[in-house]
Amino acid sequence: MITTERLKSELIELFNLEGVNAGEIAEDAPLFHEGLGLDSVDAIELTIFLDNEYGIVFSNIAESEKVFASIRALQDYINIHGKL
Amino acid sequence: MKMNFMIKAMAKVTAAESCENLDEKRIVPMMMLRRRLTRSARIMVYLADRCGFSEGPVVYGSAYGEMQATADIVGAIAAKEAISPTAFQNSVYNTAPSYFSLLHKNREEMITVSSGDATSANVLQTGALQALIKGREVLLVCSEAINIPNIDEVNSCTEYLESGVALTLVPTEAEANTEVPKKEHKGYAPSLWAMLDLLDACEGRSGCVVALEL
Repeated sequence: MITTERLKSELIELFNLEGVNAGEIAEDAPLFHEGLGLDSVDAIELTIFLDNEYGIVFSNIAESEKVFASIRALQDYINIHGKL
Repeated sequence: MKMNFMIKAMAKVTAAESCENLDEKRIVPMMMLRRRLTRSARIMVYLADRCGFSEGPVVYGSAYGEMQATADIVGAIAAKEAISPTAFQNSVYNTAPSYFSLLHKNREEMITVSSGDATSANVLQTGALQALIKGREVLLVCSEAINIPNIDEVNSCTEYLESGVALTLVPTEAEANTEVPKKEHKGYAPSLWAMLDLLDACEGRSGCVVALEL
């Protein structure tokens, strides 16, 4: 099972979020745009990361949009569907 | 044909492994942009800042280009993994001037040159032509960032794995007052030598005017 703190740390490292502490990232804030501020390139980067690290492959864009809605949604999805 | 150009500003940075204190947080305050900068881009924005240049045409050169991003892509292919889109967009030769243009919202022409050991000589020639055509100050930058894992297996002649040189020039009617002898700059990538020649010749001199071949 992946914890919130571990997921946040992995995202900080993946996206090179220099100066951002895990505690500063709200669990229900959006990952993209006004939340964490990630962009479309990051979305592809995150998709590849989930495949490489957790064996998660999305079947359609709508599914990934729901999963990428927040840290909490992503964590829940990894814990249910990921190869941990 | 030769024309005369005044060297307005110059800067250089070099390190055996990795250039420290490139002042990225001040020069690139937006973290979401700064986080994606390659080593070459960090060196370029630093050198441009040292030259006091943010607006105007740019000619950038690198013989080896974005080595780390390229190595990341090759590594992913070898491991049969998907290629990182960040590595992909950062792997092109004009990555550094692209980030520079984004940083300063500079919409002027940016030319990237890569021609092996003759890179900085060709950057000088291209930059001189640009300055002449546009009749304004042009920034010229050459950098190499080859500090990637296992580089020692293929590198035996470049001591400084990260280095960069920059200058700005403008066309002038004034007489040339500085000779630029060709030298061997031991330890530096030969791609930088022609611009290092010019920096050495003009170092400590104001109003340095040189004749450049067009």
